[in-house]
Amino acid sequence: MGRFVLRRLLASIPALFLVSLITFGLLWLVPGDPASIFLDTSATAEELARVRRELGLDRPFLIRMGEWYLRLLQGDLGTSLLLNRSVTSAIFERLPVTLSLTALAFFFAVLIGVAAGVVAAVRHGKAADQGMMTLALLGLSIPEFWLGLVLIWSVAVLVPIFPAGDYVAFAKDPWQWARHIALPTFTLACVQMGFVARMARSSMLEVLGQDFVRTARAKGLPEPYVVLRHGLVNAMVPIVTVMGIMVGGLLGGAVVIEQVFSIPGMGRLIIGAVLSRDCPVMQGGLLFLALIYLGVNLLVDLLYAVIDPRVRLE
Amino acid sequence: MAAASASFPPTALPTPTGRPSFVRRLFANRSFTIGLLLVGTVAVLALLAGVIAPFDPLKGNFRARLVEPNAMYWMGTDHFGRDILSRVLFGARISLQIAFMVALITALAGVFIGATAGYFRRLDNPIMRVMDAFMAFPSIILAIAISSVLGASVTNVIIALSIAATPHTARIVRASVMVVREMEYVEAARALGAGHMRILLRHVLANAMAPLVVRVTYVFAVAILNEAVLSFIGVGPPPPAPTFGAIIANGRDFIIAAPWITVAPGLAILVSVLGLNMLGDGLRDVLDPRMAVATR
Amino acid sequence: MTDARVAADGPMLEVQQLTTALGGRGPEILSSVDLTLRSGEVLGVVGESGSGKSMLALSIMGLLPHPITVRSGRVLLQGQDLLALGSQQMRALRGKDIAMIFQEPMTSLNPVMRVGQQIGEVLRWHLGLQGEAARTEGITLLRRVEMPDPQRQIDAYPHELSGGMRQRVMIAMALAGRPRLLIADEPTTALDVTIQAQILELVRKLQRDSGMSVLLITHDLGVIAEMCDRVAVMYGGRVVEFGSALDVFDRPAHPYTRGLLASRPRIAAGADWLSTIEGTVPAVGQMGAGCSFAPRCALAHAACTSVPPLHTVEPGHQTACFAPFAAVASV
Repeated sequence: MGRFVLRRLLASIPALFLVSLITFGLLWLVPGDPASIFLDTSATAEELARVRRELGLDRPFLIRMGEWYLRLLQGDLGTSLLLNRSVTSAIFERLPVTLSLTALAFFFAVLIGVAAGVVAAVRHGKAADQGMMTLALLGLSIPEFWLGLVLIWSVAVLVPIFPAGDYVAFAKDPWQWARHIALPTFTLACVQMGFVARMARSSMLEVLGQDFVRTARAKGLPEPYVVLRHGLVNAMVPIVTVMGIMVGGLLGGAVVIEQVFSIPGMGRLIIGAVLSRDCPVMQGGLLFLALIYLGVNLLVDLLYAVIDPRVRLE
Repeated sequence: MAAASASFPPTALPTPTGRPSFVRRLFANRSFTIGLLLVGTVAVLALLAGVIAPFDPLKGNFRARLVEPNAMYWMGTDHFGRDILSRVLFGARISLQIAFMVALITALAGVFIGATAGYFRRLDNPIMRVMDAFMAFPSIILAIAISSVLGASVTNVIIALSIAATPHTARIVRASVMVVREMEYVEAARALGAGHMRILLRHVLANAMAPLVVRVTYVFAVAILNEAVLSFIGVGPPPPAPTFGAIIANGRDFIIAAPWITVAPGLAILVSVLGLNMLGDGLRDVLDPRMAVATR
Repeated sequence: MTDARVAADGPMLEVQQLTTALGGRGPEILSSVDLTLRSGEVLGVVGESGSGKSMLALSIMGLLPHPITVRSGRVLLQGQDLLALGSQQMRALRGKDIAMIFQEPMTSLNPVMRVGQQIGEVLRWHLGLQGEAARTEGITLLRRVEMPDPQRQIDAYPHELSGGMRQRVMIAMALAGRPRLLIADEPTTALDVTIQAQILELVRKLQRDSGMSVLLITHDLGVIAEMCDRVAVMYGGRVVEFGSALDVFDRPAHPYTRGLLASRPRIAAGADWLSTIEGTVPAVGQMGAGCSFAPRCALAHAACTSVPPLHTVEPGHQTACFAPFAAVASV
């Protein structure tokens, strides 16, 4: 098992390298002079020069890349052009917020999605099945940011049950934290819930038709036990496979949801950087998100090996 | 010692199974037909936007600002007095155009890259490593980054969304190609002297068609959603283009006073994407019953 | 080691006029099946694919897949009608009093659960054994089914075992509840020939030791000859011949049975063509009225348009044919 982990870690190094290359190379896509795009036309030559120096545009390409990597390995992602503070500190300040939102949404999406899928599979063809699948289809067709706005309008403004935005740290006030994070979490989880529910249902249906489930029933085991211990455990295997992609979707969605609900997380940071052409922050944020995503995928691979012993032979 | 059940030499030919044709099965699938209906309606309305829109989507009537939906303005007006219905119709046109181009480019690029990686063993690893690296970014974030760096325009949005969707498509094509590559009839064709290109086109791609078609439907749907996100954030086609996202972004400030500005375009997105998803489900059910979602 | 629960007299299993069909008004899959399994005997059910023999097993166990249901008839396990039982009661019997082993040991075992745990489930739910006691009993069971190195293999996963070993696990799981009746559905069909012989040998030994009754389903006449005391021949969802293995093999009374026995390839016979039965087995729902075998039967005549009932040809030997072969020389 330990060797399996090591092999997976080593396999992700080239991906890491390429990811950082892409992030770095993004700057190059900018048509024209990146420095002048950041500042407006009234910028003095001095300011332009300063920005150019910050971005390292006054040095040859390879040297620039080398310096960038050197700083990267030291954990230095540069300085924000806008906020005039280190990118790393800005990211670390916002990271916990985004991670907690994403983690919560992931948890609910899996919990409710799998439960819905199992119920739909067991009640295959009946009203409960059709109803749940219709809801799931709606869920994954809805634009998240729009859903967020509609929810804010309906249950935060019209009928003020939830607050309309903002974020309260858990440490400061757990109850308010819960109230504030409820709508964003639900909105974010909605789309993925639909995916998981459909996957879980089709996976369960397939597993429940397999021979070993028939054997379990032939042994006289109670039906709920058969469905869960024999059925669900095996049905989870393909679902675990897509958990990595799920997190990717959630991270992407979190970025947008933070905008809608005014939550001070990584998403808002990156979007702010995007709109103001703050390249170092954009690069740093992108890199970090990719790192998180790669890390999650690695965890998923490991989880997969834990659940399905056949994988460990590879 | 097994019991015999057929006679030999055979005395009668086996009868054909008489399975209904592919097209008939497609249209018998409820998910497909409803989806086609929804998407078709939206597409027709979008294409005829120039003809059927009651008002100019870009021209505002300052005396008719924030009007509730009524007989004249079916979906109300926004804070500039612009008719929402007309804006939504033109927004649909822009969205569908962008999504169509994204689907097309993604299909072509995905097939090219995926088939190359799947067929030529030596190119497989380097190509897929690069694809994996791109897939390390959540697609919407990648699209936002690329779009913002390139600048706001319809073309750049198309490029950004295509880049975001291609790696996964290439992976799907590659998988299908690899399956067929190993099959014996390909070996046979090679032994008979058929060139790589010919084998690739005739046998290999035919097998990849089914998952590719399903994937492209999905890419189309996601492109509509993602384009809306890009526009909403502000890195989509520049104003005054009446994209869905832009309309919703505008309506956000007036959500209490004029909720219809936000509701209408969102519903339009929902209907389009829902229709596409149902279309995709139906296609998948008919093309490969093992992957069936809707009818099982 | 004869189980005290095995009754000395009275049949273990009686299937009476069992009819199983597809849904409420669909075509019949089993039609008025009658057979009797005596206590402590091995009854073979032989037939081709499509004869309904697997459906018979599933009907007895109460495991018919939806939408197939039992339309009429009774299944008596030592006098108790299984079809009249509620699902809870039936479940209490399954795995304990009646056990079943299946054809494909690879797919019939849970791939992500250790073999010992799968045996342990039966011990836990039916016999109330837990933890260490269950594990010890599991190892004992594995030893009984002649599994090499049972101490280690009890923790193995199915994919780590060979086909023969997996089938031994299946048998161990079946025996765990000390069943009165064991139903074996083509237990050796998916195995290599040499392993087949071992498994059959094992089943015969276990049956002799415990005195349990066995319903053995197969398409292989050789297996019947080796293992079974009595045999029922099925065709098109009906029992067409029934009697002791010796009687049926020596003096087959039904034209179908005759055809089956005649179609065995014989090296010494020196024939050019293999003898066959013309035609093919009709699909479900395509059986005409009357004797299901009539379309392929050389002896068919006017009376065969109605279904022939089982009648006695000689003591202990019945057939469902209007013009059975009189007791003639061996085939």
